[in-house]
Amino acid sequence: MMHVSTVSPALRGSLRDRILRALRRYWPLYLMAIPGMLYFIIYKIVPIFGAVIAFKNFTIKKGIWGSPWAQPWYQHYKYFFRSPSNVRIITNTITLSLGKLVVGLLPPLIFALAISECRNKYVARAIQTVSYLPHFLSWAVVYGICLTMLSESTGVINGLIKSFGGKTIPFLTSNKYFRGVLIGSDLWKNLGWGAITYIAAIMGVDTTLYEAATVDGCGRLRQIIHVTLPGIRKIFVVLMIMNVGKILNVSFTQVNVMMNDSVRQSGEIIDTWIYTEGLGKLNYSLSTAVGLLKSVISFMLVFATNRLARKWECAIW
Amino acid sequence: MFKRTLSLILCAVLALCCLAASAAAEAPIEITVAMNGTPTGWPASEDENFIQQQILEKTGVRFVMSPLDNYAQTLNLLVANDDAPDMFIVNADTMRTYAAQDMLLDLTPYKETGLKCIFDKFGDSVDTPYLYYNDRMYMIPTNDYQDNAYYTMYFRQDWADKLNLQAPTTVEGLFEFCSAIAAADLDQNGQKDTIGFTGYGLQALDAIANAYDAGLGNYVIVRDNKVTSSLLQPGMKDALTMIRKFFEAGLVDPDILGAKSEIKAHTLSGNFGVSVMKWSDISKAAYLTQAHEINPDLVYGWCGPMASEIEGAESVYGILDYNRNTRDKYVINANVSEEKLEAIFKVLQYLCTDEGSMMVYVGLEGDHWQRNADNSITMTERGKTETLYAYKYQILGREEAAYLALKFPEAADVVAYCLNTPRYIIYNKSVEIPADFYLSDLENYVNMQLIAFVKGERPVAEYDQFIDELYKTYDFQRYLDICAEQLVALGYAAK
Repeated sequence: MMHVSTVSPALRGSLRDRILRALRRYWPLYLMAIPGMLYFIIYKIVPIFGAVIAFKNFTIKKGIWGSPWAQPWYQHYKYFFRSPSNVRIITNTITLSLGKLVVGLLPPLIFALAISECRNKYVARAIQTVSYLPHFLSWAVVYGICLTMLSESTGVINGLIKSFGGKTIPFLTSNKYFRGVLIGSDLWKNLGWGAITYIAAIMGVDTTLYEAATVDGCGRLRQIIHVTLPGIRKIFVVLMIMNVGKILNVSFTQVNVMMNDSVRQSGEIIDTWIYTEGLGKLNYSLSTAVGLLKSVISFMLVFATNRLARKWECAIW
Repeated sequence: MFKRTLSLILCAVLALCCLAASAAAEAPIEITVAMNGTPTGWPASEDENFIQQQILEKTGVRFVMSPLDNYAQTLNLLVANDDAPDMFIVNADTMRTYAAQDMLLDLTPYKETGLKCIFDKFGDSVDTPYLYYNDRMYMIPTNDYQDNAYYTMYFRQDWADKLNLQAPTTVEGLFEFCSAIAAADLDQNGQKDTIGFTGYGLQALDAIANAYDAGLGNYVIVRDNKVTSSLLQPGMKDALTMIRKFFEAGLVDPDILGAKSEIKAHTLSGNFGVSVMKWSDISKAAYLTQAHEINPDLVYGWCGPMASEIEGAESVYGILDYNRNTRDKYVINANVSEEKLEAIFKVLQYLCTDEGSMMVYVGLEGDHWQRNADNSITMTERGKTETLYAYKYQILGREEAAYLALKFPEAADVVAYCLNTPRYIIYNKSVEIPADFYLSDLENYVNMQLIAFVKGERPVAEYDQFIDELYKTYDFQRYLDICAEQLVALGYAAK
C-alpha cells in the first residue's frame, strides 16, 4: 500500500530545519519573547534547584551544595508533622482558605452583577472605583481601621453597642469571632478588585442574546440567570482553578498583623508557624521543606480541579 | 616639547594618585554597629552625634551605630545574606542560632587580650555561662543589669485620697480597691468607663498570681531546692479563680491582651484603678508632663507585692530571671578583619575608662554635666536633652541604681521602690533547650490556655486536664528533666 504524506511541504524536513524556518519567519515575535523567557528562567526555573535544601541541613556559611544532607532525608518533614501544633495549624489554614475561597468568588460575582445592572453609568463607575480602593491599602492600615471599628474599649461598633446598653463584643480578641474578622476584612479589601474580572467578562457577553431573551419574555432576573451567568461561566471556573491553587496560602501578612495570643488558637496558620520556627531560627531547610510540600499539594489541587473543569468544558489546558 | 609635556602630565597624575592613596590610608577605620530600634533624640547626622565624634577623637575609630527597625527580622535577613554589620546586639537564643551557623566570632582567645579591660573593670563575675555556646564565648560581657526590675503597680494617689482608700496590700484588698475606683466615676463624665485593672498582657495579671506562688506563663522555678514549674504550683487554681473574679466583675481592661501602646495610652489618660507598668513608661519627665496635661491633679502612687496567700511563702511581685546578666549583648561578626577587630577592642577599652563610662551614662564633663564640690554630679540643660540616646552605647552594661539616679531624678522614688521589690525568680534563661524540642509550641499552648482560663473560655475545673495535655502532647516531663539536669549542673538546685 502506498504511503501518502498528509504533511504540508512547509512543515516537512528535520526538526532543526523546522525550528530554523520558524525562527526566520517569526523572528520579531521570538525577539520580543526573549525578555519574558529570561525572566521566567532566571526567577522561576533556576531557583527551583534551591529547593534541594529541603533535604539538607542548610547553613549560610556552607551554602546550598556545601551543607550536609539531612539524616534521614525527610528529617524536616518529620519535624513539621510531629509538631504538637500541626493539626491545629493545618485545620486553621484550610478553614480560613475555604472561607476566603468562597468569599473571594461569590460576593465579587454578585457585586459585579449589581454594578452591571445599574442603569446610571456614572453611579456604577463611581461605586466601582470606590470599591477597589481598599485593595491598595496595606494590611497594617486595614488592621488600624479594624481596630478603630472593632476594638472592645474604643471601637465604633462596641461604642454603639454600649450606648444602647448592650454587652461589648471582643471581635479582635476572641477565637469565636477572629476567623470572621479575617475573612470579613479580606472581603472588604478585595471585593471591588475581584469584581473587575467579572465586570469585564459581563461586558463581553453578546448583547444580541439579551435582545433575544427580551423578545422571548425574560425579565432582568431571568436574563441574569439564562444569559449573563452562562456567559461568564468560563471565567468563573478559571478564577476558581487559580484560587484553589492558593488554598494553602492564606495571606501571611494579614494573619501576622492581626493575630495576638488570645486568638492564636483559631488564627495560627502554617505560614506563621513556619515564620517563627523556620525563618525566625534561621532554619531555612524547614521553611523550604514545608514550602515545597505546599507547592506540590497546590499543584495537585489545581491539576485535579482542571480535570474536573474539563467535564464542563471550561478547563484552562 | 611634546615629550616634556607628557612627562609633566604623567608626573602630575602620579603625584595625585599618591596623594589620594595617602588620604585613603589616613581615613579612620569604620566599624558598623546595629542597634535595636531608634532611640528618642537620635541625632539626624553623624556630625551631631557627640558620642561618635568623641570615640573618633579618642580612638581614631569611626564607630557608626545604625538603628535597625523591626530588628530581629531585619538582622536575620542581613545575616542570611552574609551582609551583617561588624557588631550587633542579640539575645542568647539568637546568639546560639548564629553561632551554630558559624556567623559569629569566637571571643574566647581574646579574653586575656582585647577583652581583658572588661574583666579588669567589672571582675570575673561577669564571665557567666550565658555568654557561651559549645564552650566558646561569643557575647561581649556586660556589667550586671536588672532588666526586669522596672515593673510596679501604679494607682492614682489623688483618687485614692478622695475615696479614703489605702494602697492595697492583699489580693482581696486589690479587688476592693479596683472595684471602688471603677464604680466611683471620679473623672465625672457620667459614664462607667473607668478601668479597674490594666497592664501589659497576660503577665500583668502576675500581680495577682504571684501572691499564690504561681505565674501566668511557663516559668521554671526552684522550690525546696528542686526544679519545678510555676504551672505545677498548688496555688495555681486559686490564682486563676481569683483572676476570674476580676474579669467577671468587669474590672479588667478589655484591651489588656492587645497592643502595648493602647494600654499605655489608657494609663496616661489617668482613667484607671491599678495599672501594672514599667516605671520607665510612666514616670519619666516627658510622660509625666503628658499625663498632667490631661489630668492636672494627677498624683501617682505605687504598690505591691500583695501579701502571699500561701503560708510561709515570701510576698513577691513581678517576674525576674535569676541570672541578672541575661540582658541582650553585643556579638562580633565572624567576617571582621584583624584590623577591624583591633579597632573594636580599642573602642571597648575606651568605654572601660572612667571617661568612656561617664560618656555613655551622662555625656561629656563640662558640656553635659558638672562635678560638684561634694563629688556629686549635676546634669546641665544640654545634658538633659542631648544625652537621651547615650544608653544605646552602653555596650558594657551599667551600674543600674547609680545610673538611674543620675539620669532620671524625677523618678528616683519609684525606681528605688522597683529595685527593692522582692521578685518572683525564674530560671528560664539559664536553660538551653535542644533544637528538637518544640518549645515555642509548648509556650504558645500554655499562653493560649491560660488566656482561656482567665477569660472564662475554659473552666478552671479543667486545669488538671490541661496539665495532663502538657505531659501527653507537649512532652512536658522531658522539658522539666532538661531544665532540672542543667540547673543542677549549674548548682542552682539539688537532684
